[in-house]
Amino acid sequence: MALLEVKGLHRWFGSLHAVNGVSFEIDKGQIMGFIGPNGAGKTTTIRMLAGLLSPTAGEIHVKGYSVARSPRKTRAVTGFMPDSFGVFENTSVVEYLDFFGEAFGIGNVDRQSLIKDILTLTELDGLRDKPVENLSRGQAQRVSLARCLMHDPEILLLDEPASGLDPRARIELRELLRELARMGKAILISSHILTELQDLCSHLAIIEKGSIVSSGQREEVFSKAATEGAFRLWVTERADEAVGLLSTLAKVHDLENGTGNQIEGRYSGTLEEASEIVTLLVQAGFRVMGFSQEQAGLEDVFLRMTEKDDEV
Amino acid sequence: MKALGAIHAGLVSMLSIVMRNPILRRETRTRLRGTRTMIVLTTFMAVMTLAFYISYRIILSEYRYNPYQLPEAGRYVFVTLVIIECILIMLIAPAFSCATISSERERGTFELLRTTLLQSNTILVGKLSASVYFILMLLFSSVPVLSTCMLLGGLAPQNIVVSVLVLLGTVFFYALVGLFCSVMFRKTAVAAGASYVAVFLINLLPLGLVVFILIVTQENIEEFLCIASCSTPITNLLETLVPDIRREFDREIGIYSHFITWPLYFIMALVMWRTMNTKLHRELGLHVGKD
Repeated sequence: MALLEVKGLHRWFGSLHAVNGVSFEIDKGQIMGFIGPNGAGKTTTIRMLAGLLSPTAGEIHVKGYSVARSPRKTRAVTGFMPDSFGVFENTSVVEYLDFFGEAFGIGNVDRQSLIKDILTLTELDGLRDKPVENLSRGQAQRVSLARCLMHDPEILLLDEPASGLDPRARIELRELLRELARMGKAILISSHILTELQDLCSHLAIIEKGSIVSSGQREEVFSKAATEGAFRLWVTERADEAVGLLSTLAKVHDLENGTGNQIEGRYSGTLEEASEIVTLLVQAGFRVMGFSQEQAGLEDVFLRMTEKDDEV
Repeated sequence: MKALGAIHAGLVSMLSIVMRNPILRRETRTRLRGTRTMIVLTTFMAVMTLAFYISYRIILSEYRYNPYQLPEAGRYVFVTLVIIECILIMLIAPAFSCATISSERERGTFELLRTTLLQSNTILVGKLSASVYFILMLLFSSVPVLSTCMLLGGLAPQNIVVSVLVLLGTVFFYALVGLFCSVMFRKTAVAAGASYVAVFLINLLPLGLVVFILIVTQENIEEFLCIASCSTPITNLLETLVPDIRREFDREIGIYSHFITWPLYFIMALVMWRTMNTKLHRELGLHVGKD
């Protein structure tokens, strides 16, 4: 049984179908990137997972407990980080964490040692006595993450944690999330900054207009999306003839004859199928010096997936 | 003795639960650090001192030729101060509690509370006790000014005790009114407005209605006037400290005004507590939970 199971989740706001049959699973140590354009239903879904919003239909199970029927049990193992940082006035970082620890029923002695460990993990040691309202965006995000960790949750729900962070803070956050995944936590992270998620996530779920258009392991999602890619090849001579030959292939288009017998173009098909380009040229007696394919990035995958959905 | 021991143990256990409330600890800490506390405390003491000075000068000027009437003068100065203090409490208590929940909603921290294991009762007790704690601090700060009246004499210890109890009841009830509005309304400005409307209605609506009926019907309904005036704790203070008013109440309704005011306030407090606890419980998403 997965740590987090979402089945057929629906949420209506009046006539707006904000979340439409969302289903996915996350298990220990997995980082799932939850990506989608603005208004796709990411925040609504995450808020339902955190128990802040009731689904119109569907089931959410955390460690086998239903979020709707056993809210206290599921809250005890879930950490939620919203996209905005709610601050208390005149409160230092340590007091902020201490309050949330107490709110989760952690005893005073345990709380103090826990705060010390979490401050070290999130590299906030130097800010322990700083008022939370005076923190920079990056510091506030780290404090917010530290707050989520106070009750040692097994699942972390992070809504746009990297938004507004400078590049250094993003790298630090990424490293921290990797460390948390290594510690066995299941992480669901939504973000607009797709390049941030590309290397970080082990799993992906792409949502658009309230529906999941693709989900699963990162490689699986990439491979499903990689139906078109750019390629570049070099022949020893007769580049013009090679372009003419390649143009007979139905799946090849946008061919360009560059300098130094370089040919560029696009191929509609999977990465494996693109090998027929080289086969055809070799069989026709061309000497191919090099061949490269551009692997689709997360941004390409996202655009392709959402474009496909638009066409439907 | 056993009963006293049980009451003592119960009180100690209740106090310990309240003192361990994370909301109370956080609220008290953050409030005492703010400049607002210093301003309110200074203003409150300045008003009380000024009220003492003015009432002392006015009342003493009437009694100064008769030293035997000095105790009476002392009592009237005390009455004036206690009533001013009671009015200030009715104005300050809602102001301090009406933002407690609504401001959490506005700052986005209420969402965070909703993801914790805090129960609605814990939140409400924490918020109410933090507001009460702060207003009690104001009451204690006025003790030196009130004590000065005692130098003039004329005050029986039981009168002072009853007055203090009335002020304490007022603190709790009107802080609860503010908290109730804070739970029921999302915006702090609306909650503040609603709190003051509630304070105004509780204190003056019954009396206003009876006066209106009195004017319309031209009938002698002084008994109803006395009963209607019991909706405000000011009547309790006047009845306790001014013998003429006590005699009037005794003649018209035959019981102490306390026996009307405090059961009424207790029922209203219970209704408010139940309503806001149910609402908060639903907002916390715990109403459907079986665990």
